[in-house]
Amino acid sequence: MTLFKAFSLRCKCSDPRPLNIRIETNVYFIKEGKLLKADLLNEDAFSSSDIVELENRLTPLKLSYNDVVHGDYEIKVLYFQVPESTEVVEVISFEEVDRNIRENYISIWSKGKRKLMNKVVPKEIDKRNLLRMLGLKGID
Amino acid sequence: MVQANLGDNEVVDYLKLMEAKAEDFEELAKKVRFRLVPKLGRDYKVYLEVKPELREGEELITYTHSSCPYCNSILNAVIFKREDKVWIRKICPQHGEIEEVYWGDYDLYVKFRRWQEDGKGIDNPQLPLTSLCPFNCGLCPRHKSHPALVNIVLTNRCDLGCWYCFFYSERAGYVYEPTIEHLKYMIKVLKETSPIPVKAVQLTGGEPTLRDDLVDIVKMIKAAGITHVQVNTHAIRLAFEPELVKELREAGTNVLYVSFDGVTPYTNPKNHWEIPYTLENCKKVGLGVVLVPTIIRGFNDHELGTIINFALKHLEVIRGVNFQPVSLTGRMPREEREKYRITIPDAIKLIEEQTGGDISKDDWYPVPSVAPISHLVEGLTGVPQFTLTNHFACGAATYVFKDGNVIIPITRFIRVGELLAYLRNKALELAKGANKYLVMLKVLSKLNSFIEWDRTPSTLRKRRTLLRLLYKILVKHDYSSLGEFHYKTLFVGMMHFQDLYNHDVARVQRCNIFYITPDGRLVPFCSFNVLPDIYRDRVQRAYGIPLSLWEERTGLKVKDYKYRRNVRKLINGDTYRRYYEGVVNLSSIDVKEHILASKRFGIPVTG
Repeated sequence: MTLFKAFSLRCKCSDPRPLNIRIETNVYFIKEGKLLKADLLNEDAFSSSDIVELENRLTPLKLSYNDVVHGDYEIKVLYFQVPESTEVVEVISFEEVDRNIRENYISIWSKGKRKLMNKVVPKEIDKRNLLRMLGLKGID
Repeated sequence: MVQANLGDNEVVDYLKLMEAKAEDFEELAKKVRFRLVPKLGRDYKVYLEVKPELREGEELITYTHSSCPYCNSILNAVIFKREDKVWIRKICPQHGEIEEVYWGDYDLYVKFRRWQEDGKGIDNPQLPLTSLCPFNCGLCPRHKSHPALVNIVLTNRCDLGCWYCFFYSERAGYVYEPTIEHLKYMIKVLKETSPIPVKAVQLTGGEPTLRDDLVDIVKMIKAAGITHVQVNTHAIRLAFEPELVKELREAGTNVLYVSFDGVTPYTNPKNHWEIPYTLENCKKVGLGVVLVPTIIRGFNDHELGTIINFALKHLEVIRGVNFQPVSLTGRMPREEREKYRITIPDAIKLIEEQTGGDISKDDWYPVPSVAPISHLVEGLTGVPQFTLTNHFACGAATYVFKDGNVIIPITRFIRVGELLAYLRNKALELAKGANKYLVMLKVLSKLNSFIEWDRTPSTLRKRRTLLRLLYKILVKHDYSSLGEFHYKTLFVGMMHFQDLYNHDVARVQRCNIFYITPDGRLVPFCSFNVLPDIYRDRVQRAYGIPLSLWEERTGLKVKDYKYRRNVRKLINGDTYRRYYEGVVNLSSIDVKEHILASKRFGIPVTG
């Protein structure tokens, strides 16, 4: 098994523009054509060496780390346990609270590199939706 | 095929590229770009552990990131209110605390901030995320605004030797001068920018008029589909060569962006004497001019109102005045910075005082305040629109009309704030799925209610011209109507480019004025010039030719084209007198004073 790094974040600020956001991440992996939910093994404090990795997740949301530091914020580094040499599916749930915007972003990672990132319009990710997107048989 | 010499210290052998095609430059750019981008450790360090604290009497506004003026390191910075001003403070573990005024008026800061909107950036950034902002410019996916105007440096040669300038060819030791084929590659990059291809470029230098192929360059750029071309120049050559002005206009140059720091020889020793002749030449061929005064406290800040009056007197040729509060470069102690520093609100207050209230503090709006217009048009047409979404602290603007002898800012006859807020709401309705035809009808029926007809300048009142123009600009987004509007008015703007003392990464990420580098990167103005050793100088040196080789190849010597001013001849011309008449009392200035002003600045005098 190996560790997959992801993030959770909440931030509220008013300068240079109002922003009230929450980001949660769920991680899955693909095994024998099935999608399995990865276990959260550990949570760690965020440090400056994590910034570029975090921003890789934030930029499709049109956000940067600099936006986050403008306000009150909390960032957690999440370590999920996944099998080695498997494709990892990262589901980022983004919520902009004051504007009532909820979006999901699905990324597929292979060998530490992101192969694909899709914005999913439906408000909630459900099993069928994920399976359809990934062309898989079942989910556990 | 390009034969690039890729030695340790030499990235490009430009002499071998003189006959290269645009495709060759594209291929080369892909190879060398990653060697030129900033590197952690070599070019900058990250010190984000220390967070500056607030002191008694200070009120937190926000936190951001900034850079150390002495070592470029990325630092946490706090932006706060103290005694009605906005300040920025950061602490470098190596160089200590650095504090600077960020904005001269807290109330105006809050008023302007209400208009902040973020853009969507660009879909095809040239660089992946590898470094922290602002050391990933090129562009990177963080960037929030699409380019509104892109600078293309045509040469680093200059025929002046201004005492404060450090990057012209003799001081740099190399000549950077991209070939037309090379420029074609850069234009291709601009045209491919998505979702909003670049439509406006500024040709700059050095001094771009030193290039004998300038007219051909303008023609090439226009033929490539760039709709707006402006030339940023000291305009001295254009004072003496009316034929060149005509050719530039005929080639498609839309406007000249001309340095103009004041109305007297003391405040504008760079081109005070030549400007009247340049303006006259431009007037004859219908080429508009925007005056660009750099404002320095204690040097020319007493002439802001007079500069506007000068522009209004020559409205037939001057389209605008774009003030630029000084950006302080190099190592400068705090006392010295305080002596020269001026911010946008300070300049706005001075203009109110110096115009007797004709242009007041309330007449100004931040640049992103016009974004709702673009959103509305985008909602109506379904096509991504050019949108100004830079940081609210970067720039401000107003429009001023002249009705007889009366100066009327646009805000006196259009309730601009209410109109923009209304358009913002309508754009939101469209985004939520409202019927676009109903929204358009509502906008049309409501437009008239934002106009105070009894205060409207007569030219715009006649046959309700103003309403027709507003309809075409707001609903049709008609570029020619915008042009017609500009011809009837004076644009007065401010753009405060940053320096390392007041540097704010939030502003960099929203910048919409760029430079295109010879390796095809789009670098925000305030990275290109604020971190010159990492961006501007590195890439221009890489694509440059050593000065001695350039002289050998061209048979020219730098000293051969250095400008020598014939002050006596210039001040005796009728055009000179006519242009300054009623603006400045020239008879009080002795010819010796004229000559001394020019020489002190670094421009020798002949005749």
